[in-house]
Amino acid sequence: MTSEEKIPAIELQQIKKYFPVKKGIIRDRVVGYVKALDGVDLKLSANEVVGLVGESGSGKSTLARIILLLEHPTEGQLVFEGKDVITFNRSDLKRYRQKIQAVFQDPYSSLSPRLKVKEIIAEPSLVTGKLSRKEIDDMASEYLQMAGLHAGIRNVYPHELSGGQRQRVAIGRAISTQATVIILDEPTSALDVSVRLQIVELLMRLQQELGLSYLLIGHDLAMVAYMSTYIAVMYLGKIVELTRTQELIKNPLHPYTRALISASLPSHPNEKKERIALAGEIANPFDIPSGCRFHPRCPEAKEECYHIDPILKPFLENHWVACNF
Amino acid sequence: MGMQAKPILEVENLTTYFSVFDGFEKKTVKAVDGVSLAVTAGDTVAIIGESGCGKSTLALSILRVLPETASILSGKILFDGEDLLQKDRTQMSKIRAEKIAMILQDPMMSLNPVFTIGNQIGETLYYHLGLRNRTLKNRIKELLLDVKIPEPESRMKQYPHEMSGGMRQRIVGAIALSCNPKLIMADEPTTNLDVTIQLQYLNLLRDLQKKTGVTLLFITHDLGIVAEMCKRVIVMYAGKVVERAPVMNIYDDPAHPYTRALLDAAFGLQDLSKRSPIKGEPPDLSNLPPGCHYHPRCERHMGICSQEEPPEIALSPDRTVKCWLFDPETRKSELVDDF
Amino acid sequence: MKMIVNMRRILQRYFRGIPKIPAAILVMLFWAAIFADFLAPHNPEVGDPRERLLPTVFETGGMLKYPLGTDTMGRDVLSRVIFGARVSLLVAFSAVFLSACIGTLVGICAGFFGGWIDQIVMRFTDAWLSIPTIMFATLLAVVLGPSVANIIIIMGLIYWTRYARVTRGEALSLKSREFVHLATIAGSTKLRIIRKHILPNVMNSVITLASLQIGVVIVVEASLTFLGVGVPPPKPAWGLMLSEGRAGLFTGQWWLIVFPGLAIALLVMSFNLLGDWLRRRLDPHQQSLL
Repeated sequence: MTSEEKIPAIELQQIKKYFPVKKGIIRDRVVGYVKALDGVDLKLSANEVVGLVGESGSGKSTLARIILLLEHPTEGQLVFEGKDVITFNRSDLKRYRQKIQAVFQDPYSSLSPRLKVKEIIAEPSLVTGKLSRKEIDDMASEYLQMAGLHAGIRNVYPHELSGGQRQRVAIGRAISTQATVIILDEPTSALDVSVRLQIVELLMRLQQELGLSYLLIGHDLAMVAYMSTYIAVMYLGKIVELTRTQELIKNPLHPYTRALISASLPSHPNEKKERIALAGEIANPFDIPSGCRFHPRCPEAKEECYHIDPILKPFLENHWVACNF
Repeated sequence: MGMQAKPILEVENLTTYFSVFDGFEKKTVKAVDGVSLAVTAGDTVAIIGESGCGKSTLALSILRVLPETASILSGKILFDGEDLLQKDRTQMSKIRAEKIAMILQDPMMSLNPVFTIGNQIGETLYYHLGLRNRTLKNRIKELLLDVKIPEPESRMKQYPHEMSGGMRQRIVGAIALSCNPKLIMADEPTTNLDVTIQLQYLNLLRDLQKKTGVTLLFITHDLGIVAEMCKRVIVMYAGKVVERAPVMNIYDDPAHPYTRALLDAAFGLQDLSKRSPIKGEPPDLSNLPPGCHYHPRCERHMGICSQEEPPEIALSPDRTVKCWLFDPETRKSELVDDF
Repeated sequence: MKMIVNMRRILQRYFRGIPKIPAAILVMLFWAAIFADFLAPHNPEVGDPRERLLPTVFETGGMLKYPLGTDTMGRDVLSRVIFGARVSLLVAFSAVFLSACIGTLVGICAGFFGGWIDQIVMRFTDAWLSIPTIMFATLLAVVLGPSVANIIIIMGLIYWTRYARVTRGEALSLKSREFVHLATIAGSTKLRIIRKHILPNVMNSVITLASLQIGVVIVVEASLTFLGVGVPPPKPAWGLMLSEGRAGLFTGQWWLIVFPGLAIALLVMSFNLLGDWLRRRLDPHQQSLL
């Protein structure tokens, strides 16, 4: 949700994704649903970085999969450049596939082990048409260099590269089709600490140079905050708070956001923190509490919270919260 | 190193090497290369460094549970005054769990999926303390309550996969505590846990330490854990200790360039200003750069750094650093100015 | 000079740890198969009946002309063994190739597409697997008539199921790896994903399996030929030599059986040892270099 002039590149409207849980041997009875996503609205505009934070069970990975068309939403619309994805014809789909790319968490399984790096980089482009050897070579060199790697790497196999280098290859591949939106799913979690910031810097540089939009999914609030202009906090399949990064840190409204921020570890031993302790365990998306899904753990839960499930509404300027207060 | 309190663990010049095959040659990986350290009883100490710096190997060497490809070549490991490297298998068996326990990163790997958790906690108690029947059961319940797991009676009969990640890690903690060890080593204990659960877990460890006075040794790359929990920090790089100091010194006035770079590169919620990454890649332990192993990535490296390994220099009674920048002779000849 | 050094390095790299003796045996047998026409001293199919049943050169009555003796029709045993290598290897490789192709195709489709395709295909595979091999082969041989081509087809049809099982499992696990997802995200068609991502990654297992299967196929071919439903006479096949020379065991003409039997044993054992080495070599835990 950004200022009015910007056209959203991708818009999610009330996306729901329920996974049926079946029991029984002969005739599968549906005994319940895992409600991975339960009504998510999100807009991603051009040239901005939106961070998505949440703990396990929040649904953030499922959201990424839906945007990447790896899953179909049970309900809701995914709109790209004004058109609902369901109405796409072959060429719309092709274009979507070129414009939306992804970088995943594990650099070791993101690259096909039997292909050379140059083939990996050229892969998304080869899907739409043949390229000559020279074209593949040139393309690989170009994008490898943009990703901060030596062009000579294009002829090696992934197993000869380190984690950081592989992730750079994955990034090079993601930008090779002139994509406008890149979904980043925990892009640095599996990397060495000293390499993480390198990759983050690379991503930010590319974002500015190429005018990309990122949807950054992470569990490390500090890293997501470093990279993003907007942050959405998810809990059990819904966005509970969404606002600009600085605002979120200075003035978190939702109790869950506040708990998350207070739970993050300090940067200095002297940093005195007032800790909000949350009761209970991370909730299970199979068994979502009634009313506000956060109420069993919320230190400020009141009577209404057992019954009413709040929706995401603007509370302050550019600051949306889903809470009964 | 606190002069007053006696160190519970003292490692002297430990060297552990691995032999690996890579493609067509046999290579020696110098995982731990002449490491010395001391941990005071009751203290909370962190060994930090990125993956491959040797910190995990160091922990495994102390417990002497290294894989076949590794061997301890030299050094002493003094626990409570006795050299662990001189102990035989039976003696070491007793020491593990009863004196030194370890918590690992992934609870699913630490717990056996086909046994109930009551069984797994009980196993340690059975073999090490010889508890049986009612005493055993009561002790298991006690331990579960100690790690804040409610309804221990019913939980005891559950299997690991029936519990959440945070709970499993607490079970691992319970197993570690079961025989009242004097030292608990925790290797990245919270990496796989969600943020809010991580906090619960660290608080738990802190409470347990207050209660039992156990010494905690954290092995981690996460500076947040260091800031939250630890009093002393030992920084490792490429198999060597490059700096050791009280935690305040590390954060306020880091000496070694690597420590400084780690701090600069760490994300913090309160400070979203631009950061500068450490250049280069973590080193290949079988093919280390000559001289100071950090020099190719060091902002301040001088001529001598690529030729000779720096000595360990004491900056104060409880601080040392392994860097040419602090050697008085080098400072004069290279006209080093202070940071 | 540099070329030789390079070749040496390549050889060292690719063939590290290869068991030397089996490799040498196989190389020898391959030579024999390829250059049989030049190596064999006599015609394997036509012999001189006047010189039948001559013993080996080491015994009394033996001649240097026929170092390993002659059979009931006066044919030189050595020549027959050498030419037999050609037949055995030809049949074995072709049959294995055929079954690998069929099996891999089936397995990848089952594993990759999943769902009901998987169910149907795997049940079919199970059913096929339960057919008794030798009987089935015999039946088919009787129906199709004995010939080299037919026996290749028959064995290809029998042995594909192993490959299907293995490749299905691999395809199933590969399907959920991230690079496959990324290919889908980039717009790759399923066929393309199979071709570029799944297939190359199952090749390791297929090759290993194939190398271990060659031994099996050789023995089965020999058995079928022995029973009379494999390679037809007068072609020099080791199985035939065994069946024709069977009676010789009791009348003291041991060379009729021992040499072809030895040849079969050596070939199968060498392939098995080599297959074992290959399996260890291509293990994903090692950095595989193929």
